[in-house]
Amino acid sequence: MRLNRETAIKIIVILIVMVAALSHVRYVKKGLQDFPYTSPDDTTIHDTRFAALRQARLDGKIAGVVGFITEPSYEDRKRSTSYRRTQYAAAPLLVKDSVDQELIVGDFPSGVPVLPAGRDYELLETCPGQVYLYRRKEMSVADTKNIPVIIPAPAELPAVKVGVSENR
Amino acid sequence: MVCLGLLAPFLLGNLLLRFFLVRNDAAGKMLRLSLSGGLGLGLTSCAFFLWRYFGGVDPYAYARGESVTAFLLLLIGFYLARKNNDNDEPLSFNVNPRNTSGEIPPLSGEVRRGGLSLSPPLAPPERARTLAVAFGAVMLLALAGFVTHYLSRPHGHWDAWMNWNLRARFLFLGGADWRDGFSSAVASSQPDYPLLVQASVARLWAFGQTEATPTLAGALVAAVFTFSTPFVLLSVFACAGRWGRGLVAGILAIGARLYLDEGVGQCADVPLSFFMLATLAWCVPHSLRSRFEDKPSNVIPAEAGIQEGESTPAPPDSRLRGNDESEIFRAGHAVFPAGIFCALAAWTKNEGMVFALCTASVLFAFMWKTAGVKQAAKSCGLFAIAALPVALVVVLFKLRIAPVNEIVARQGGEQLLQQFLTPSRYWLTFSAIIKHIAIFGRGLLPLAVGYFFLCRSVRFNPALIVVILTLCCYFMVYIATPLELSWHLNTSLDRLLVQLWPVFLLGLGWDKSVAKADCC
Repeated sequence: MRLNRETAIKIIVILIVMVAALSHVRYVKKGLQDFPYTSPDDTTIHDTRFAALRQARLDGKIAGVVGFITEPSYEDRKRSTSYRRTQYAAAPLLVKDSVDQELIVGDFPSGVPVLPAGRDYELLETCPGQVYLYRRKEMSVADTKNIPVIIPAPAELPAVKVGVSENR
Repeated sequence: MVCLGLLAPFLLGNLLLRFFLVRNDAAGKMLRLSLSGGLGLGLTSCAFFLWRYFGGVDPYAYARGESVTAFLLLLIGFYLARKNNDNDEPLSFNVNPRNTSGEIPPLSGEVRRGGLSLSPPLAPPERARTLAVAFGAVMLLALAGFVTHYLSRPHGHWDAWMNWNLRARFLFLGGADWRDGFSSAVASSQPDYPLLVQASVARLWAFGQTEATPTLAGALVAAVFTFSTPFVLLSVFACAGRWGRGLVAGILAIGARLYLDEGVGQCADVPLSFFMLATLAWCVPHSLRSRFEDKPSNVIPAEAGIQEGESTPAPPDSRLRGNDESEIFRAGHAVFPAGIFCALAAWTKNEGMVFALCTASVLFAFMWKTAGVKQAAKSCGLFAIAALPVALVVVLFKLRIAPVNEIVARQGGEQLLQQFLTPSRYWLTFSAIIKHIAIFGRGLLPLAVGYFFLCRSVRFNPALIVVILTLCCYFMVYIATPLELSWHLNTSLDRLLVQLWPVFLLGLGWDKSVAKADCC
């Protein structure tokens, strides 16, 4: 009886080791699918695209809360993901999922920014990676001149369109 | 420099544990080492948050200050520890050293002031070494999995970057405006969650002097907790002489793919599981021995000592009086670290607060049942005192920084009542929990239950009761949730099971008898 119990224990232990090892072998294989990791994941890409905006916040060129706008074609889930990735990538800049702010950051990976109808914005800055910074037009010209927005282009990304928009 | 950021808390944790756990055998050292990193990271994350809260702006200044303070504390601590060791050098002995049949383990121990202290076998028995190789192989595979998945998703899972690493960025880069990160403007990202992981990551960035490699700090914090937990399980059982059982429990803990995946995902569930396990590890009877025991349960008066070479001693069960369940949690040496670890669980995640309440209640009830209300009140009082400093940090964060919890804020009393009065919610939640438990670990869970049943170790004990009670609390939170229930269950239930997995394994293997077979 005792022998049986010990044999059963040994069999279970062998099964445990095999299940654990095989599970991890598959896990390693899954992790190696992206080897040699030259194409970064979505979060890393987003993080790189918004690096310039984050740097502008760190340099004190932007402060406070900025609004958020993205591709109108995105369905709810994709839009929500885009917002959250933007908040993560732009931190410590606080991004609110709304267009009711003076400054609005636009995430338009297509490179074609589309602004909601009935709102009057001016493009302040086009950052590398199809990231745009807008300001509501209600502000006076004097006010806009007081907000210097100079966003450096990170070396690893080609600047799509650097400089201040013509509307300014 | 990031390594220094890890080394300082590791050494501080180790030093602190030296005062509570002075076993110097392989099991004791392994337990101390495996607990040190997590304890140190937890305490230094509290320090970093307090420094931020009280006006600290430059994280690099914090890193310099902490380095100097840690160095001074380590000097003082090691001086005191050395002095203490010199004053209390034990005389070791070993009886029946040639008995390797495994039926009755060799009896060994130390003679200290006040009596004779018996220890279980100090090293793994011969046959357990095969298991040790298997444990090492599974750990290596887990490490490979961790590295490959980190390289493919360096920012971690969705929750990691949306919550934990996001707050870390606010803490590190936010300057005087770091509290912006806890604004309710940041939608659906749990800004009310405590800050152990976030502050640890920010603190490592401060030591690294840069955020240029932003993902490395998060991965290092995750690795410390992910790979410490199996060693904690192993060493707790090894302290009781059950190396085989400890190795199997360690393989089970790290072998669950979901556990490893949550670890590399850089979420706080694996750190929480570490602190849950560490809390209850101190309550296992006879596993942790210390000179600070106020009622030395495992000490036999010196005059009753055994001479070396004496014939086979009586079965160790009758000698190791510390095996008695009434000894659980009674000794001060166990209460203090358990209290600290429990508070750190509450500082890791909101679920940690639920765990802390469940643990305190269960331990109080066990103490009351086994040692009377007076002893229970005394032990739980000490537990509360030990937990108080970290608990105050949690309270400070909750009252002054964190917004109201999403589940509470989104609904009124009437809606809540309606949720509780809807029977279908109970069935949906119950069936989801059963389904997720059934597939947890891809077959490892039933194997674990089978293994521990065959080892005849499964019975009601504080760890299992804490697991069941905590699961019941999670169940009620699901009933109350204002979020869409199916979505909430599908997106969070697995992580809750990951939190309880190592404690569950400890509960299954919790046994007061001495090892009889190498595989158990």
